[in-house]
Amino acid sequence: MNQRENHAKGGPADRLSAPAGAFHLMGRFGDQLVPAIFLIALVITLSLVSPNFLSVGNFLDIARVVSIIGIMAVGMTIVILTGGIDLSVGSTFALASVVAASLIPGSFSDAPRILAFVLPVPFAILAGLLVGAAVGFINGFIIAKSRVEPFIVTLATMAFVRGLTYLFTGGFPTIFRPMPPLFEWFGQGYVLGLPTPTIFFALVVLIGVWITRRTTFGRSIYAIGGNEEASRLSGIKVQSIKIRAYTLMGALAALSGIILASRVGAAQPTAGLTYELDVIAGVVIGGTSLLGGRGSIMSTVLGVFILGVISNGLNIAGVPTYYQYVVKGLLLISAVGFDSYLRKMQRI
Amino acid sequence: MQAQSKAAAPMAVPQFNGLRSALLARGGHQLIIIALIIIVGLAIYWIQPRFLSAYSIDNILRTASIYGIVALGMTLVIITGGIDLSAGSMMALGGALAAGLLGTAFGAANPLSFPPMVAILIALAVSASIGMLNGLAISALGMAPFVVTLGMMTVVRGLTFIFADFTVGSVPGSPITFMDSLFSWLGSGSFGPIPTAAALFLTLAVILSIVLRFTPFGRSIYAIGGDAEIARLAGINVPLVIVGVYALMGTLAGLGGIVQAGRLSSVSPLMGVGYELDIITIVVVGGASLAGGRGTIFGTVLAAILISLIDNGLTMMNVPSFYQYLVKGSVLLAAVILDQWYQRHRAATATA
Repeated sequence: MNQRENHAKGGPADRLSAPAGAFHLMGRFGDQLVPAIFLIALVITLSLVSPNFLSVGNFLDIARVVSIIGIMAVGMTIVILTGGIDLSVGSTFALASVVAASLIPGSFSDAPRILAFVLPVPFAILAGLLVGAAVGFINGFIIAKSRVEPFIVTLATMAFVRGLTYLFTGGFPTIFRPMPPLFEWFGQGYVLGLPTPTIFFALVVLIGVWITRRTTFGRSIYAIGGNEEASRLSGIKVQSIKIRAYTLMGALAALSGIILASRVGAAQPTAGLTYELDVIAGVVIGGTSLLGGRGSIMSTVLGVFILGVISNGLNIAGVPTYYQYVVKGLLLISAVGFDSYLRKMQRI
Repeated sequence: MQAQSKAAAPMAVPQFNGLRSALLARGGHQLIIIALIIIVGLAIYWIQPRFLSAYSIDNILRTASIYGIVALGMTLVIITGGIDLSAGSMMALGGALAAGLLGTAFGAANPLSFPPMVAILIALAVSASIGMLNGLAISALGMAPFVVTLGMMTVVRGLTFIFADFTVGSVPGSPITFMDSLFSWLGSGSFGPIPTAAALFLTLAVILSIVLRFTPFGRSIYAIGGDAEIARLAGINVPLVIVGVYALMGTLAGLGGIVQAGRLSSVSPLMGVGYELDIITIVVVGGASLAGGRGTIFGTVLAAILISLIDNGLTMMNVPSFYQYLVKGSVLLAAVILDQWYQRHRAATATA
C-alpha cells in the first residue's frame, strides 16, 4: 500500500495502473463509470421534475445542440491527453466558418470581399477545414518547437485568429442569398431521422475512439501525456505527434464552425466566443485529466451530454439564465470534485 | 527569482560580465520590458504627439492600475503553479456588490443601503471568501485550479447578474449606475499629481513585493510553485498557503472591480468578461511561468504598464480594434518565446 502511494505521488505513470481496493468497480470502465452514473441520475431527476423532458424529440434536440461543442471536445480530448490545451478553438471555429461561408455560392456580406471567387460547396467546406487545420498546425508547431506552454501559445493565437476573423469579415456577418441546398443540408438536414450535426458528431467520435484505441498515434498520445521524456526516450516522435494532435483539433473546430454557420444560416465573426471554456468543461467533466495521459473520448461524450442535458433541463424547467450560470458552474466543480475525491480515496 | 532559489531549489548563481551577461542576469527580463516601454512609448509619440499629454498618461496609468491590481493577485496564484479564471467575474461581482450596496443607483429598486466604506468592505469580504472557496477546492480536493476557477467563473458571473437585478430591479442585465464621492475618488480622483488608482496599485505592489521576498508566506509561495511535494515535506502548510493566495487573489480582483466601478460610475454585470485572459497575459509577459515557481511583482507592474501603453497607443493612432487583437497576440507570443530563449541561455551560462 505504502509502495503504491509512493508510486502514485511519484509520477504520472500511476494513471495507467489499475485501481484497487473498495473501488474495484472503477476498474476497466472506471473512467466512464462516475460520469455515466451522474448522467443517468440527471436524466431520471429531470424526467421526474419536468414531464416534457422525457421525449424522443427533446432527446434529439439535445443530441443536435451538443454536437457543436462535442465535435470540438473530441479534438480537445486528444490535445488534453497529450498534456496540452487549446484555447484558440473558439477563434478557429469563427475563422473557418467565415472563410468557408464566403466561398459558398450565394454568400453575401456588407463588407468588401477578400476572396473574389466562389467554390462548389464541398470545396468551400474543404477550404474551411484546411484553414482550421492550418491554425492547428501553427499551434502545434510553435508548441512542439518552442516548448512554450500550450496555454500561452493558444491564448496568443486565440487573440490573433480572432483578429484575422474580424479583418477577413470587416466585422460583418456573412449570410446566404439563397443558401445552396447541399450547404443547408450540412447543418440543418436529417439522415435516417437523425440531425446531420449529430451524425457528424457520431462519426467524429467513432474516428476519435478508433484513433485513440487502435493506432500508434493514439497510444503515443497517452504515452506523451503520461511522461513526455520517457516517450521521447522510447522512440516516440513527440514533436510530430503533438503537431498532429493540434492540427486535428483545428480541423475539428473548423468542422464545428461550418456546421453552425449552416445551421443558423450565417457566419458571424463573433461566433464561438468563449466556446473554448465550454469545450474544456465538457472534456474535464467526463473525467479526462488536465495533466494529460488519463481520459478517453467516450468519457468526453458523457461529459458533453451531461452539460447538454443540464442546459436543456434547466431551460425546460424555466430556470432563469442567470441561475443557470450558477447551477452549471457548481455542477462542473462538484462533478470534478467528486471525481478527485474518489481518486484520492483510491490512493489511500 | 532570488526568493525561489533560496526557498525551493538552491542552484549555482552564475557570475556575469558585460552587456549580454547583464541581460541574462536576474533583472534581465525586467530590463527588456523597460526598454520595450520606452521604445513603444517613443514610437507612438513619434506618430501621435498627443500621446504624451498629461491627460493621456493619466488615462494609461488608470487603465494599467485596474488591470495591475488584479494582476498582482494573479502573479501570486501563478507563482504557486495555479491559475484563476474567475478573476474577471470576481471583478464584476466586487464592483456590483460595492455599487449595489450603496443603495443610490439611479432609477433602481435599491433594497439595501450602506455607507460607502461599509459597502466596499462587504464587497471585499465576499470576494475574499469566494477566493477562499477556490483555494479550498484546490487544496482539499486536489482539483486542478483551471477547473475549479472555470466553474467559479460561471457561478460568480451568475451571482453578479442575480445581484444586479436584485438591486436595480428593472430590466434584467441592466447596469448599476450610481454617483458616490468615495468611489469617484478611487476611480477618477488624484492623490497629488498621481491618480488614486495608480497610488493604490503601487502601494499594493510594494507591500506584496516585500511579502513575497521577506516573509515565510512569500517564500512558501515560491516553494510550492517549485515543487508542492517538497514544500510539504519541508514543513510548509501547503493548503493554508494556497487558500491564502486565492483569498488574496479574490480580494484584489474585487478591489480592481471597485476601482473600475468608481472610474465609470457604473457597473455592468458584464464587466470584466474575458479580462482573466488579459490579466494572465500581463503576468506572463511580466516573466512569470505558468509552470509555477517563477515570477515577480515588479515584472507584473512593468508588464501592466507596457500592455496598457500598447492598448492606449493603438487606440490613439486610430488603429481598428481588429488589428489590436493581432498585436496583442503577437506581443504575448513574442514575449514568451523571448523568455524561453532567455531561460535557455541562462541555463547554458549557468552550467558552463
